[in-house]
Amino acid sequence: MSEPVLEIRNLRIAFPTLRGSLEVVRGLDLTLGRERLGIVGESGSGKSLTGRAIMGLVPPPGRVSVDRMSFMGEDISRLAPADFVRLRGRRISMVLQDPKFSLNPVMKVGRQIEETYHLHVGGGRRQAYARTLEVLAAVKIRDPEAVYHLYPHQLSGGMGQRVMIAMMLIPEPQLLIADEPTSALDVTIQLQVLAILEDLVRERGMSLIFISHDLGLVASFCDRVLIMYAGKVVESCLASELDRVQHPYARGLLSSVPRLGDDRPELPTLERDAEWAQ
Amino acid sequence: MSAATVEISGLSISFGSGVRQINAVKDVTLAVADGEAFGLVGESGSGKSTVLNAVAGLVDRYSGTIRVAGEAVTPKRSLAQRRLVQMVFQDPYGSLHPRQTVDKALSDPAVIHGLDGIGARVERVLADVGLKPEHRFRYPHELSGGQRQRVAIARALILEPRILLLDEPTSALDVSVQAEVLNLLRRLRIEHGFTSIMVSHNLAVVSYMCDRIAVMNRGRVLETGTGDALAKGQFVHAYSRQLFRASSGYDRSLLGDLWQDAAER
Repeated sequence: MSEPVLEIRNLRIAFPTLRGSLEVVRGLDLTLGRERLGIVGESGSGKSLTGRAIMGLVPPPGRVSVDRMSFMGEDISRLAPADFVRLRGRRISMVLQDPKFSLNPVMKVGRQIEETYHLHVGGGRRQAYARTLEVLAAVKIRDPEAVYHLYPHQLSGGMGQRVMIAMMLIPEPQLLIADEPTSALDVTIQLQVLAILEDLVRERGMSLIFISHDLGLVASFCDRVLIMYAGKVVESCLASELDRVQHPYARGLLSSVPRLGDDRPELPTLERDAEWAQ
Repeated sequence: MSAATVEISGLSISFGSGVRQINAVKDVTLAVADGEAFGLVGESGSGKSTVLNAVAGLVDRYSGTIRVAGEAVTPKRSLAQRRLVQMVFQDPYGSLHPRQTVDKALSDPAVIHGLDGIGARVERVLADVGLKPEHRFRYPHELSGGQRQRVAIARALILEPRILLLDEPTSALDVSVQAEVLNLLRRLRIEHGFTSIMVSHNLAVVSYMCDRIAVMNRGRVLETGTGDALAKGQFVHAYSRQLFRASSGYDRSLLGDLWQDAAER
């Protein structure tokens, strides 16, 4: 493998509470190549915050500490907020869960995409317009010129998510972090959005971090999977080998999901072991 | 199988009027037998939740007839009719009053319906759904998502309904918590013998929980079959098959049909 796109050593994120500091990500290591990496875990496992930390977007009063965080060989762990602007959105992008809350409701979606163009690429209005239509077409929107003039409330969930992805594509990032990008979508729409992400990874050589709670989806979509529990990676494996994981938490998580054709009289529930969190 | 507990025939529901009219449910006919676990699957906008709301008496205007326990019902229902049908909603964070304790949430329905021995009922129903006595005087924010959904189930069960309506009861929960709630619902159904109608977009969950399942799309019921048949992919309608394949994980080969479909919409 060539030089990793992203390398993280000993990432820790803590929030101050009345009872002292609460560590929600506790020593996470991650090496990412040109691949689709899935991060799976339940709510509170720290998976979303990990994604945000890479973007330099951990909300205050959260504190991030990391031994090493390098992106394309460049150390970004000590980057000042002003310098992060150079990376964020341009070379590392993020797609969030719900387009309803992430798009500006009173601005045409085409103008919102153009805004991204002006910010990261510069250029004139005509170029911005042309490029906007181009990225809308790239996410398989049939009539980009019509969609350009729509407001977010006029879009369906799947279309909204595609607009979000189109917006991320403008600066052609090398790394895309997708935080539950399809969990608000129907299964058939979900498939379409995933196919677009897959094409982007394949055709543009982009790396993808796919954060999700859906084990089955991650297993079938990603190349590699990290399973997080209580702020730590408890298991890391190839997606194709997910059903052979060893860690009791990972096993418990897998077996607690009903599958099509399930005839177990009762679903096994997770007996959480305090030791896992150590 | 005994007579149908819920009988829906020719049900059509529309919202708005004129050019903005949306026909959410179109000519739906269903019969759910006594003690049966029935499931409605479909994607958002298919009308599945609207059908459920109509059975619960939460839809004011519709055409067609709904019969509950052999009796034709209208949106205006008597107390006794309302007691027969109880509902559990999707979002346990939104469906409990944030400033009411669990005790208040559970005893209010009992007070409204004039039941006696309310304190004992609350204790019993809490134990039934696997909550401890100390949860009784807590507020919703002091409970986890799974515990809140247990409270919502308890609130429905305290009236001893014959029909329990479940609108995506586990889709807001983590998978390990989902397993607990699904196990609970299965156990309660065996112990109490109520009829249930469950709405979900998750085929695996519905086929695990239900005896019979109807697939809905754009307001219509496309087909009805057993949970087993659904799980084995034996449904025949093209849309049901598509839904089945899309639910089995990421599969690129399915995509051609889907883009075709998206173009037609």
